[in-house]
Amino acid sequence: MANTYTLINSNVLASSAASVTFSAIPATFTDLVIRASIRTDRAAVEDWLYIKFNGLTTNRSYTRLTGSGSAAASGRSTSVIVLGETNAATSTANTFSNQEIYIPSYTASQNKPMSGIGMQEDNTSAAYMLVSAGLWRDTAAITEINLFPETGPNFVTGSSFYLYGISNA
Amino acid sequence: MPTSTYEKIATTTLGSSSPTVNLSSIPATFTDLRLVFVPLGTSTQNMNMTLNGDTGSNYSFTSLRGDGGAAYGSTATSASNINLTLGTSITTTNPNLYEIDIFSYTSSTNKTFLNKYSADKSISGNLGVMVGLYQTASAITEVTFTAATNFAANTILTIYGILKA
Repeated sequence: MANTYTLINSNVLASSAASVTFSAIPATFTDLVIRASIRTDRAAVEDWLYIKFNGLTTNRSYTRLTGSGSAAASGRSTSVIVLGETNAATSTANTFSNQEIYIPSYTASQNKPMSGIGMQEDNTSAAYMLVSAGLWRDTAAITEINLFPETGPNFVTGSSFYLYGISNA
Repeated sequence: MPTSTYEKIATTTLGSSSPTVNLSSIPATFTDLRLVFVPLGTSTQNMNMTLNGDTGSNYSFTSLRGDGGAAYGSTATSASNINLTLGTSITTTNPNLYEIDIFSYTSSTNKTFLNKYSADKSISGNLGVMVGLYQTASAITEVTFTAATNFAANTILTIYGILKA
């Protein structure tokens, strides 16, 4: 029976790190999924998760939908891609955000859409979630993914990142 | 070998433009369905989804979406299809991404679905989450996406089956 959902690589941080990179991503799958549990050391309750591809910081845009438990809002940028909300240093101790990123057709010679969702819930009066539509306007196959916090500067020890490949073949 | 719980049922990639993208004869051997749809249009246009070829007033859905400036909520009842381009459209260059889960698709109760859609177009953007209901006691065996004009070549639809047993 075909195995359609395969772990490509993982990284569970044994010490804090400014970024996490998955490189040499094989072209043998159809879609990519990243699942992560993240906390950063930003001096605040929350931080944002950024992404870039193939080492490039160009041709990125995204649109977000956010909620704080009391209101919903939307915003966007044409210079970065933010794909989730994370817990940060003043968030309740030992709470990590959950993240899921979906990147379809990552080897197709067309611009790359993607989705992201990340939630910072820490049993306080305000918690934050962010749903995102990202776009990388590049026709190259994605071979490297770099994740990093907006402010951080670091992901803290215990943050975990899992990259899966989904195959439709 | 452990049981595979996430399996491709079918995939189609358009080789040329077409007004519809359809997958039929979906087997009843799974518990839930996941559709991953990455459409391009031959022009900027709307599109929708129907199940089992049903265009009766059997669909309802509620959406929470954002366009980069504000957040919106909307609902539709007794609809004849599921509008997948609320606040957005399919375009020629920047594909949308739809992740659609259809739960208990073979049960004899009404069917619920969850649609997460992502449509950033660089100069503008839209995204949202939609919960929906399809009122039928029949198993879902067919999924059809219909464009106002035509989907473009390289539009991709894949259906996965998720198995609990």
